[in-house]
Amino acid sequence: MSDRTGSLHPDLDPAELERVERHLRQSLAQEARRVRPGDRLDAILHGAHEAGPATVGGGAGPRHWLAPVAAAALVAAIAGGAWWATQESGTTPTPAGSPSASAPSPSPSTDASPTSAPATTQPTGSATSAPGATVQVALPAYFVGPVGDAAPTYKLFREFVRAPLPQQATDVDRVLASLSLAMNAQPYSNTDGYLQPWSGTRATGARVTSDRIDIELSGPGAEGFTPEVERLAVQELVWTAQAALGRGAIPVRFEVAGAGELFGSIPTDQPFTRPSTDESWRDLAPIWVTAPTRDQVVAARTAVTLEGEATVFEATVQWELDRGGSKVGGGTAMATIGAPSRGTYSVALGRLTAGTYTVRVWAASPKDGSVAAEDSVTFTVR
Amino acid sequence: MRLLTVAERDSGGDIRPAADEAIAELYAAHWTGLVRLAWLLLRDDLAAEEVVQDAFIAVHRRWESLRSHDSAAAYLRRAVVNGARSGLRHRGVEERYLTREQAEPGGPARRTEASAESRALEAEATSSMVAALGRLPQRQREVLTMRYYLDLSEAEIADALGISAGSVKAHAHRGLAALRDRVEAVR
Repeated sequence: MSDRTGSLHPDLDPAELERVERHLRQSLAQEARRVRPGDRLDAILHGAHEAGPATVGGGAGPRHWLAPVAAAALVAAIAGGAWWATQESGTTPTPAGSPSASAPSPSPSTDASPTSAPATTQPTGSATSAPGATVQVALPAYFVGPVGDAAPTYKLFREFVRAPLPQQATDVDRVLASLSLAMNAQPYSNTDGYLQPWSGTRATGARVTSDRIDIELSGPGAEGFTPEVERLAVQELVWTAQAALGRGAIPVRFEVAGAGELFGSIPTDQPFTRPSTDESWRDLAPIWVTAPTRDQVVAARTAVTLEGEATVFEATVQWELDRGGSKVGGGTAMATIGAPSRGTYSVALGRLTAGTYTVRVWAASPKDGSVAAEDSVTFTVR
Repeated sequence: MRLLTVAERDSGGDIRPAADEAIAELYAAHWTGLVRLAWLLLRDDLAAEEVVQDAFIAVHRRWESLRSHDSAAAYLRRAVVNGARSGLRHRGVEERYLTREQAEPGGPARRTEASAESRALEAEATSSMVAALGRLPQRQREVLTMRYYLDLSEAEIADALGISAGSVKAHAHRGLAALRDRVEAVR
């Protein structure tokens, strides 16, 4: 390397150059690792078949900018039917902060003046106003699920879910789309045991300012859950909205149509936010597997890395890799930091032969060695 | 290799199945890397995936003339770099990137999988370098990103950008010197 790069930069001091190169290489690698592309193979094939083969001498390339987008939108419309259905059924966009009944409610009256917001205030329900092209994006959504112990204890899990968004999506669009995904745990309830505390409830509107997120809900949530699950269900929406926006822990306020409380017991006259990082264990499940992702397809020539987050005793997690039901690997990994802090762990699984794999990561209870928490992901190598 | 056989067998008739299979294989090998490359150039999740999706569709449409994995991979790189550039022009994604960057480096808008803690640490370590890279002229940014993220050779970069190897050298040199001045000097 030094040979080639050395000749590239004759008037830069070689040691200095190497430092810049190393720094740049590391920075780019770190940056790139954050990007987890979603799966678009189906959309690509669909788009290619829609477009047909290129004519001889016809310059396709970057000029046919719109065609694939339209194809993606078509796929999105098919795949993301749930989101659109939700949005379309809410055809009566209620302005944020406007009292629903004739009797003026005492507390939210200040919300009714949108001009007082310091940052851009976007109108409620703008997600329904643009029927134009959409694109598939991966949106963060948190769910209440069992952490894997015998109790069972429930905490939050994060998924990145593909969903269509308008091309020029606003903050409100992102927040509402993510909330819509988080409130529909049905696709995961059989496989992951995620609860459905928001069954029958929709996020009907949102407002976003620089220091506040307002969320309107169509109802107070489903019945029959414990107070702790109800608390987590509210936090699930808080984490989701904050993550969708991506600007940190901006306080969240809720307005429930026809009710002053969430789940009949949690007052809405207070702001909600995620706990500080050293107390994230209150909300987040002790173990997450973040890579490979659910149902990801990995090329056989690619080295697979198991990655995740953990809030575990002594920072120690155990893992096991199964292929077709039989164990093909396993071991112990250390997270970057132990409980109560949340660390990350990483295990190089190397190149794997084609097949369907399940990787399970768990932590043992310091008391009796039983499983205190676990998470697992199934993926395919081909 | 398997792909070529299929392509050859189908060469007289419908090339679609061969193209489909080739795309699936190229996708498995290059999708993630190219989306990340596009992201590094564009700083926009939406646009990055779109640009690479476009490139794959273009390869599918031209599979008959490309035929090999290597030439298709080179075509993909060209298409992604061109697409990223036209994406910047078409959609104002650069502005969106800059405002988001100011709001929260390393925020979940980037679809990060890291914890908040590691995100903060990484962001601190990389933000100055990444910010400096973002302020370089487009060509220098492209050359340095392909050189130090994808580890492409000068010839491959020259091919992808449609410039001479000498220009690649010059852009890399100027870019690194600027990064040294802007980042390293401060330390």
